[in-house]
Amino acid sequence: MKILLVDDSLLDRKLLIRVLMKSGIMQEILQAENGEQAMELLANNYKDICVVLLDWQMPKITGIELMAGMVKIPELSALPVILCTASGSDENKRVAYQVNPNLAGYLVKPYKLEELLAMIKPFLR
Amino acid sequence: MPEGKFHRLDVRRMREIIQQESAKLNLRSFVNDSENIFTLALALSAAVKKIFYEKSEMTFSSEPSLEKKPIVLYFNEMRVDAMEKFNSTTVFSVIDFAATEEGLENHKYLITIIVYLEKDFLPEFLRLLQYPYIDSDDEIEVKDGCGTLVNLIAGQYKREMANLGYKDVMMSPFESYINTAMDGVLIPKGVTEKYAINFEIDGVKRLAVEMVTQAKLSKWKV
Repeated sequence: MKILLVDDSLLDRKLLIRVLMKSGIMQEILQAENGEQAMELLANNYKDICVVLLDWQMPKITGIELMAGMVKIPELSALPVILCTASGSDENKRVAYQVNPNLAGYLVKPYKLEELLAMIKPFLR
Repeated sequence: MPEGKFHRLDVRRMREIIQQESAKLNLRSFVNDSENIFTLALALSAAVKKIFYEKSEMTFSSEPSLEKKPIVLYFNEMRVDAMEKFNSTTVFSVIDFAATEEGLENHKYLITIIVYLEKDFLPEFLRLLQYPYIDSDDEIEVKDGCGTLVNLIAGQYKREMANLGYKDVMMSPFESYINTAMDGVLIPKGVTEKYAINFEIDGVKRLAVEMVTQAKLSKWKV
């Protein structure tokens, strides 16, 4: 199974990949730097993806918009999504859970790496 | 379709659903600059790591820790108590960035970075970066040594910012202090939070860097 990592920041992606690899996570990591790329990867790989790490703020299609679409598409609606955001306001969190009541995790940057790993591990297959 | 058989999803249909849901829930209104600021903090962390790796092949013993903290203001300047960073005499140096030379002169800063080090560990840091030995009991040498380090970091940081698509910015000369800055430190106006980044060597915190960034970052993207 694969992890889909969606983040427009190359630095963020590099950091996450390094952390995941260092902690012994061996799953293949698919990377998308925007919502469009993420849609293509989802369209072709949704059966192989075990968890989606999704950045909120991205140009054009934001993470919250992508997630709103995913929950309406039967093939994607059950995919666990962990939403990452640097804006940790209560309002944003409320909206995230309103959009996806089954949200697998809501991470506020800068997050503790242990926190991220604890959220991801239950979904690794 | 038989159960388990893969079919590719229609991306155009996905896009339509996303647009509909976004409009229905007004999701475009939840966009702000926090993400850009976090990325700039990561870029600063990357700049520090790159300098040490390129100059000495030294790597820090763990990923630098990033933390968002509230700023304590003292007559409109940021209060800095370096003794909170380490439990020993601490030297710190400050560099500001502004959009123009005029902005620097008028203290219209976009970013302020502050580098903190234990005074007694500074000679070792400089040795790692292949600088000559300095006397840690000589205040002038200590302030100059820390300033040299913040200059290196700020220069690399400018390059990292350019890689992220930001316009070129002007850099101020450094100012160095020991333990505290009596009048505080001038920072970008109206900012209430800073990023604190800690770096460890052999499991011990040895370097602390803080970044204060103007909130309206999108304005200075190329």
